[in-house]
Amino acid sequence: MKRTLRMLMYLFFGAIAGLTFSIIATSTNDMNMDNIYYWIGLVTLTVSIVLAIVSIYLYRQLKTVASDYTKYMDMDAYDIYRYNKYNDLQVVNTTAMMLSIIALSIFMIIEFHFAWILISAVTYIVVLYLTVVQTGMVSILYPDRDLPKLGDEKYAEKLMAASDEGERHIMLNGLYKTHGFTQTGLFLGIVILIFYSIITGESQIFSIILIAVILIISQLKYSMEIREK
Amino acid sequence: MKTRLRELRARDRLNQTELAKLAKVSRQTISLIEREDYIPSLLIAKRLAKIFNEPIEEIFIFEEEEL
Repeated sequence: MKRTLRMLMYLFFGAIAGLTFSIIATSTNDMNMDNIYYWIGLVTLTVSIVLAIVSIYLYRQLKTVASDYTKYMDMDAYDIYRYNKYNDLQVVNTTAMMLSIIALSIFMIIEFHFAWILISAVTYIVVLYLTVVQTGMVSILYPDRDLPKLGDEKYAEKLMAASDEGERHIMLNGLYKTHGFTQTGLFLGIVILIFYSIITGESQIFSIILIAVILIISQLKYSMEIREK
Repeated sequence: MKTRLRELRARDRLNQTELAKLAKVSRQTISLIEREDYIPSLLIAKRLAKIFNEPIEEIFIFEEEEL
């Protein structure tokens, strides 16, 4: 019952959001949408470049502290510091990567000047490189632990095996909440796209199908993982 | 469940990281147990009991209705 009510609530909020977006989109009919996308592309590209710089700064800061933490803090504070700082780095890198992808896709789809496509692509590659390099930082931060490397074939299994029960408890809670949030977010996204398509006449059917398929596969994957255990 | 872990750690002048190393777990696990957000496995409870030289039931105190 609670779940049904929650889904209805999401449907309602999705409809409201969809209507709002659609009204904005239809009211800007006489405006050049390409121009708006151009500015969105520029803003996302600028933010991703700034985030790439922030990422380098955080990485250097963490590396400096990790080289001799006793200069800066005690053991417990250092453990909290490295854990949180590394998490911050991952958030910054993921955000920068997604924003540079948005910029790249806008400049490619709208066919703006080649220079913008090139800058976006270079930003994406730089952020990707930073992510890979910074992942190697784990072995410096946790020298006494046998943690798997990024790209390892059985990364998830090895990470689980290397983690103790408290860490697994934290990961499970985090992942479960994230999974719920992702499912809700994607469902809301479908509702928004439906209303957007109806009101503006710009068909988003492909995106709707794609999101729905991802939701179904995600649920199936989870069911397969927990089945007969 | 209540725990005296923080009190015992202070008694033995150990920080969370040192206790974690002795108990062969992460500092996060010690922190979770101290905040009473997580009930440890029997193995970790036993290790902690050994470190503090106290019986398990003196470190982890359960309410009657929990048992």
